[in-house]
Amino acid sequence: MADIIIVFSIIFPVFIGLVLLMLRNTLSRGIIITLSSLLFIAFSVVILLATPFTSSLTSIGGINLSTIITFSDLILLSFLLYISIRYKKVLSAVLVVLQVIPLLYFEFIVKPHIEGNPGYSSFINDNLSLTMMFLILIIGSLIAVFAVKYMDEFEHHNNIKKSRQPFFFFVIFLFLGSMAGLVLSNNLLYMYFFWEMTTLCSFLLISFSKTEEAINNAFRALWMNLIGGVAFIFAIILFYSRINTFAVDEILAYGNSEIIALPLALLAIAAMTKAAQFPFQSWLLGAMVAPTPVSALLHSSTMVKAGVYLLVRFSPLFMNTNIGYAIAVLGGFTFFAASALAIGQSNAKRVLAYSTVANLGLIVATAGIGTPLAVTAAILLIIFHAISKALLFLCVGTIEHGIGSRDIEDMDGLVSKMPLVGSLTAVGMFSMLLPPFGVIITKLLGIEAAVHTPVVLLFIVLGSALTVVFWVKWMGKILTMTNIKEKRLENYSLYTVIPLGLLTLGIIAVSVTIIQINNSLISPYILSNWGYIADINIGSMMLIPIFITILVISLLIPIFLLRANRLTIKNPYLCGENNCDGIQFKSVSDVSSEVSLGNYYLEQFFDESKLTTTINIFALAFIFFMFGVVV
Amino acid sequence: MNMIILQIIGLIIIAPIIGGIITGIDRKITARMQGRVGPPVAQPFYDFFKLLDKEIIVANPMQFVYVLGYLVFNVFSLILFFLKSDLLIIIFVMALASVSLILGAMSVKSPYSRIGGQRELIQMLSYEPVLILFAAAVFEITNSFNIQGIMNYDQPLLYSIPLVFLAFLYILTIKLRKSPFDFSASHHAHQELVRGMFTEFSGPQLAIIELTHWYEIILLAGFIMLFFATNIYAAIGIVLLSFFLEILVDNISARLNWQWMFKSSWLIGIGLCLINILWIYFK
Repeated sequence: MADIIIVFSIIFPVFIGLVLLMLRNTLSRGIIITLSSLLFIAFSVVILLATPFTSSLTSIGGINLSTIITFSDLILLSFLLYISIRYKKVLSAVLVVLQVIPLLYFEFIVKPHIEGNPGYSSFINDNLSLTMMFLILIIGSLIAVFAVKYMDEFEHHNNIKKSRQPFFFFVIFLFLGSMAGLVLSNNLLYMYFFWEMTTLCSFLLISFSKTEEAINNAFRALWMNLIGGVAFIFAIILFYSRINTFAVDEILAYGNSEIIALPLALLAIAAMTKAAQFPFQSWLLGAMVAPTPVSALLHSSTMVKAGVYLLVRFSPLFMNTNIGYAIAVLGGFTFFAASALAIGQSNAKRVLAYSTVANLGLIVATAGIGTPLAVTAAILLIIFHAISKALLFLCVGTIEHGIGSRDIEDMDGLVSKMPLVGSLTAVGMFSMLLPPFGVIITKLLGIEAAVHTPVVLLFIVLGSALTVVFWVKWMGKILTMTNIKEKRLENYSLYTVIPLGLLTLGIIAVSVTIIQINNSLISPYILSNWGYIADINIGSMMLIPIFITILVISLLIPIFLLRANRLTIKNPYLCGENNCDGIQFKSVSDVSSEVSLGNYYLEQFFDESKLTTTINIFALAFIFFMFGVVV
Repeated sequence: MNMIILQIIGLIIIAPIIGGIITGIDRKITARMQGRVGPPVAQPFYDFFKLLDKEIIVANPMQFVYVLGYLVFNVFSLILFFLKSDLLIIIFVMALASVSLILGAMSVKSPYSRIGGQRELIQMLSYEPVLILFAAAVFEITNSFNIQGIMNYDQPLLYSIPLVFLAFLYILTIKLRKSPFDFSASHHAHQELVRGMFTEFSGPQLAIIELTHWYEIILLAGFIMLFFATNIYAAIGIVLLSFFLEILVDNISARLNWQWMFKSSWLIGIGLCLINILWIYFK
């Protein structure tokens, strides 16, 4: 049974992708994607009911599974080498070779055989993998459904004559299958293969529009992720040479010890390149040139979560160790620095990208601290951040198609021009920074977990304060309302409205049920890995009364809007120089000027070009510190 | 249970009255310091009722929701404080209230309220870290984030975290909107931003904002009293002394700019807190 679930999780999305590769029109694509989404969601319930399970699947159709994986790995790496050579990217080519040689050496000279170890499992699904599977299957499906209409508009806006959507959707579903394989793998070599598959998918999707900028950014993402791949394969080799295994559960059972500190540090490097931590953040920023569904799926909700998933997976080994502390400092620093950089950005997707990097940094920090409270916060943040960020990216994509710009300065008064999307964006932002929603509660738990590590605590405290600034000034701009009748720019296609609506409902649902999620999903995982669970007094925080209060106030909103015609609405005060029509004032020579208001970007403190070099130097210093304490 | 509900209702009714009286005394003392007679001590209440009587004029129909959010969540955090709840959630609900007001200010297309709102954001950026570090310092000492933990601790916190208290006084100036940190509302310098964040709020909405300020004063007084929770008279004494100090600083200093506020509150405020926390950590 377990074997069937695992094979289905990985192969079925790929199969759907191949079907989509052959479909030529949007209608058929839409039907297949909607049907497979419903199937995925139903399937996630099946997985939930079957959890936990392990599988010692070692062969498929008579062929040894490890052989299949190694063979596929070499094909994948050869393809990456081919692309790198074709586009004359030396760095990527070198990094691929740096993976091929160790892989060949390991597989054909060392010839590891861990399948025979007693109690060996090739795949494991516990509560942590289940959580990730939910994110992959449910959020992935919703984003795929959204992409049906979005990609049509994308190709229309960019005047693309020959549609490449079949390829686009093939790669999206290939990616979903790879992610499933990644989170279910217990054998690190299998995980490594799926890891590099997600790197490939990311590369193909970032370079989708085939512009020069897209291709360059795709290669930057490629070489940075390949650094992670190199670290990964060396970590596997070191694990095997030191403790004779590279199965995750056997490594965890080994307990924390100095022997495995170096391969753990290498895995941490792999995780941090995948999760775009400093100094590897520029690939994620550059990846924002990709179409919005890509940004939502890969670069906020799922692929980058693979990086932090790896760290959370090994977090039982980090508690009270030097390497855990080093990882926590790196994560905390990323959280602080990325939040600061986001304040100076006016490109909406770059703000979201920096916010993603920041929240991933917080997850890395709490995973590094490694106590039950910290890891509970980490897993909760994975869930809450994935949903909220997916909603925000999809909203920004819709906004971009509506107003033709992704600059925040053009989003003034958006809620009048695009009421539905504007309001949902505001809800999404609200959920990222204010109680009683999950993200801020997990930040609260993170602060509580970090009290014993003052450096990490300071970073988290400063980062939390900084995040408020960039979210609220963006929210304020969107929520501006004037008494001028604005033209509505929205079209309400089901493919757009249903994913956005379901994601919003999802945000509210998971935030309201945070205690239940913790008790049923996370505490059992913590209990089985640490032996005791964290004492989280969320109950005393009266979150439900806060929710009810917000609900009541929100119910007042339509009442106020409907009563608007009975209110006396006047134009804002402009020192007596108001003109009667619109928000204009009489300027020099009594010329009518429109009021135009820009946001603060505090370039004096938070200018990206000024800060990035310094931040990267600090980040590199912290990485050397991490290796220094383990070698 | 019923007892607690009665006490909460009592708190909700009495707190703004005390807050209003403190505001009135504030204005009286300020006037005397400036060589004036000053308004009667009950002036804030006269102003409140006068504002309630005024015509409702708004710049956009949603303003009242934001003002309501500001009021309700400040009262909420006061109730959480009274229930001796987790300090961090109190601080975050206070942040929610402030954000609600900032959104209300920014949602109007007026240069004054937009700039005022964003300056208020920078003020929040300046004082939030100190508040959270205060909560962390409390945890270092009492091993709990709950106010109940402070109540159970047998020594006054002031003896263990005097530097945090100084940092708290520093950011209290920001919270109370006193010079040199009176940016977002331009209380005294009307020629700069008219009334800054509050420019487009008038009549009953401004009355509710005033009311919320009185609640905020009681909440901040509560925070100060936490530093000397063992003796209620000493605690009240310290509160009165701190407020007097704030009034004094308000009258002897000029308004500076936000860059100065941001840099100094992060350097001084966070610096003092860190020194204190590290000294406790290493003991």
